[in-house]
Amino acid sequence: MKIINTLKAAVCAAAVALPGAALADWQPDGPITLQVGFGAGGSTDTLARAVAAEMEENTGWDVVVENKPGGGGIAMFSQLVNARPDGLTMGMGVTIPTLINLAERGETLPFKADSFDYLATVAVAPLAVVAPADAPYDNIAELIAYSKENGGALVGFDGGEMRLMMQAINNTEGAGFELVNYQSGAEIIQGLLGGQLQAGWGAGAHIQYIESDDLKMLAVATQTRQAYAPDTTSFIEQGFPYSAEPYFYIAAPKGLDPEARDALASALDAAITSDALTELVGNVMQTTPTNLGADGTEAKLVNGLSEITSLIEAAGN
Amino acid sequence: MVDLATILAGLGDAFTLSNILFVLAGVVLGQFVGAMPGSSQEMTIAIAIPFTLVFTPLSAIGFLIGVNKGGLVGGAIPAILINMPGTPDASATALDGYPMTQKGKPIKALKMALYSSVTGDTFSDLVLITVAAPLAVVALKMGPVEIFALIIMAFALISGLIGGSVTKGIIATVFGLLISTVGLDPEHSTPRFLFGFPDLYSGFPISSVAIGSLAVSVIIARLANMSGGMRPALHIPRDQTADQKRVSLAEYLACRFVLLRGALIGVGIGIVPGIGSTAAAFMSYASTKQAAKDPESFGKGDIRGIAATESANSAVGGASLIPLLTLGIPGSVSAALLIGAFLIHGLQPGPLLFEQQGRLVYGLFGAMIIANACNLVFGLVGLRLWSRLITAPESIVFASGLVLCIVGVYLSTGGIFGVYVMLIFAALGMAMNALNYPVVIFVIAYFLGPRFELSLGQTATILRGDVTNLTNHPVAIVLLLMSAFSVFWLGIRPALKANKRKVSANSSDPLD
Amino acid sequence: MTFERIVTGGILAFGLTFLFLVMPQQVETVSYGRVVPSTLPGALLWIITIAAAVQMVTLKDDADFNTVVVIRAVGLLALMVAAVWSMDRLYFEYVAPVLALILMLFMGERRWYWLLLGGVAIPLGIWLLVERILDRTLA
Repeated sequence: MKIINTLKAAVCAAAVALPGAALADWQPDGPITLQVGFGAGGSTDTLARAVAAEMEENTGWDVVVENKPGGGGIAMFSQLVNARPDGLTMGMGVTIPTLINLAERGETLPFKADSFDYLATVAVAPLAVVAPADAPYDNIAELIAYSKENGGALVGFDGGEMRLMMQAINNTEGAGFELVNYQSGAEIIQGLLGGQLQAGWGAGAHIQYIESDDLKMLAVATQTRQAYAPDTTSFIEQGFPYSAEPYFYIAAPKGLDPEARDALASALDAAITSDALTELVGNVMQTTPTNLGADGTEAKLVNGLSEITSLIEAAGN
Repeated sequence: MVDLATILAGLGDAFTLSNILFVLAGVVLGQFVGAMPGSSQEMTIAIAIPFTLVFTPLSAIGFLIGVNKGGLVGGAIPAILINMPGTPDASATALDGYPMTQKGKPIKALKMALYSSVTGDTFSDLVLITVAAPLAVVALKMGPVEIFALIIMAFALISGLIGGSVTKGIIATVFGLLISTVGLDPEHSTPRFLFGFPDLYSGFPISSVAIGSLAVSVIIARLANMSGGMRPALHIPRDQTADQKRVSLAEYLACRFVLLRGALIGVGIGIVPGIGSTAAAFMSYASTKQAAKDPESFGKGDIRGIAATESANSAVGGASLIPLLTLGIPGSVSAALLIGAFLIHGLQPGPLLFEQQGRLVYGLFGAMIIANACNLVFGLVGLRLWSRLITAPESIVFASGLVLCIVGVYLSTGGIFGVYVMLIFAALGMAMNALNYPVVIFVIAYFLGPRFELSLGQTATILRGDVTNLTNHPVAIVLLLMSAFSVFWLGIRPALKANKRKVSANSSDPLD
Repeated sequence: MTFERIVTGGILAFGLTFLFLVMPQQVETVSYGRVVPSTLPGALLWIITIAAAVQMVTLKDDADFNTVVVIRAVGLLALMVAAVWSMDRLYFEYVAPVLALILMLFMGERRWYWLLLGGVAIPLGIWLLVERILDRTLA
């Protein structure tokens, strides 16, 4: 196990050599675990690992990333809510899947929106609907027309909000979209490039393919346009009053010592706004890190519930 | 798309002394950890990634590739020596590897495993390096319907391993699938069969099920059968002729078709995400067994059994980088971890990868070739070391093995819950062994379950609920026809024959 | 009634119980989609039930058991459960050596140097590696 020793020594040396390690009052008395509500390799996981690495570098704390995938983060948060609020356990998830679950089966979940101390957001996923570059439709209305003529277009999705928005359009427009469930954005792109899908949702993975001209944008699902495709209009602009802005966020079990909460929030903020994160978020999602802070994050979760509830009603389930 | 200068520069980057040392370090660590029961290369990669942050990108990626490849070789060692697979991939290798050990030829079995593994791996890497682009196009055409048909085909081939009783085989398979439905369903994300345990939201942890039913069950059964007298865990006869210890070139070449078939199955499974190397190993084993003139010699120490499984499971690795690099789709847990590491080190999988990062990609390819060479060289040293180590008394080997299983599962599942689940599946595995229900088929079905259900749902939507729409998917139809044929040919016909002869095919039962 | 028949009967009962009693409680119903949460488990449970029913009729052989071995296996499992239970409450580094020692003594190992190696050095070595070098906590 010599190699591990050597590595360890190298890492320690690197940590000691780093200037300006944060000197907060609160110090963790052991390794901090950052649980990720999604599988290894996805965008949440990648962001979490980068945040953890950046935190380790800045503070000298030991931050371990663990994957607890399942149900868009519900599996992880259901366990996190019972963890000790000692500042050594945090969880990273995505706002919208959590909110959908709270809205659809809140009574069966072991947590509520106010069961956590919220610490930070990391970024917003640039949700959009894309299609193969040679498809005979350029926006949602044309896709609906195509779908009606061809007995239902196959649309790939990998998140509840995407499904809800398409179901809502099926209800109001009679579009007849057939929704195909995928495990990741990358697999949806495979379906689009392989000709199995007529349109699909992207949450960041699609951007490279827009740049390489393999795919084209039909609409963005955020309330405002997105920087990499300034000409693509939003669902709202195209006359469909739906939007979704999933934030990646970090929470801890309720009841943190205020000092621990502040120390964690500021350590997270330093990591999220660091150059390394900016570069990584730029690479992975073509967007910039966005930290709404502890209070802003809490507001997203607590206030977001009513928006999701009305979307679920529009989708009719 | 990439000019020769970039390719040469990339390969040149890989073949520097420091990079070779990093890859070697990864291979040594991977083989070591792979050989430890209860731990896996996935866990090692997850633990190692933070340490690699201080390396240069190529060193870091080379190191992680080394860990991954070393783990594949290491997993076969305890499977062959003490019938306890270090990784689930190796459970197929135990089928013929352990009987060879019992016949006093452990070194020969280990060498064959090593040669087969390196052969499959190198084949797969060469496929990746030379024909990645056309294969990526093939991979694109493998949509949900085709993947669904391929999973059916995997089940059909594996039905050849069903053993003496068709009903017991069916019950084991279906039970494995049923266990995989625990947790959130893939289509609607609703919780199923939780019985009030929030830990079950993500289902029974894979490592708990695999290690419990394949490794812990075997150790406990062996301890329970022990009757006084402390023997070494592994006995190698001293007066072995050279012939019993080595694999001659003629023996290796005699397996060339087996190796090639294994490598091709591995590559085929590798470019389709989500099926995995364990299934590839079993598919290769089952088809080799049935293609042989003397299928009854399998399971009794046939060297072709080892060649089939190790070439196939190692060949998955290189090919699984095709969807990984071109689309960012991981074919396995370790591939998924590698993606995360790639991103952290600035290697962004996707259509622009070869253009923008050509030099790094060819450096990665170079590192893969180096890792194969390291695997071969260090493997030969390592297998002697391990077989020497396991000549320690049984008491030490099995007691430490059980402690390691607890630690390994605790670490990879992140809590004590996974360890309890491991013990439950150890009990289940022992009961199934004792009653001749095929445990390996149960585990394979469990592995394939989530993908099976997901692609079932996708297929139903894509076909719009109408089976006749299958006519738009000729590849899927061919796969389904081949499946129907193999179920009859591999599963039902031999089982009927076996029943007539009243010969129980499954005789490797530790609780008897 | 052979032992194998009793087990097969148990599987049959399991299939029926899950189909008609457990599934309705433990699986949600949804309003959309062609494959719903209960589609696959339901189909699988039907197959298990039918296969077990067929096996009830066709079973010929019976498993033969060595009662002593079965009791020893159950005892070992109970020991493992107890050890894991105490690891969750005490520290790993106290429980693991005890577990390893009991297992070794159970196997009939009496040579003190092997006991020292397998019962003390190896478990503590694992603990040191994991907790001190890799910085992961064990229960």
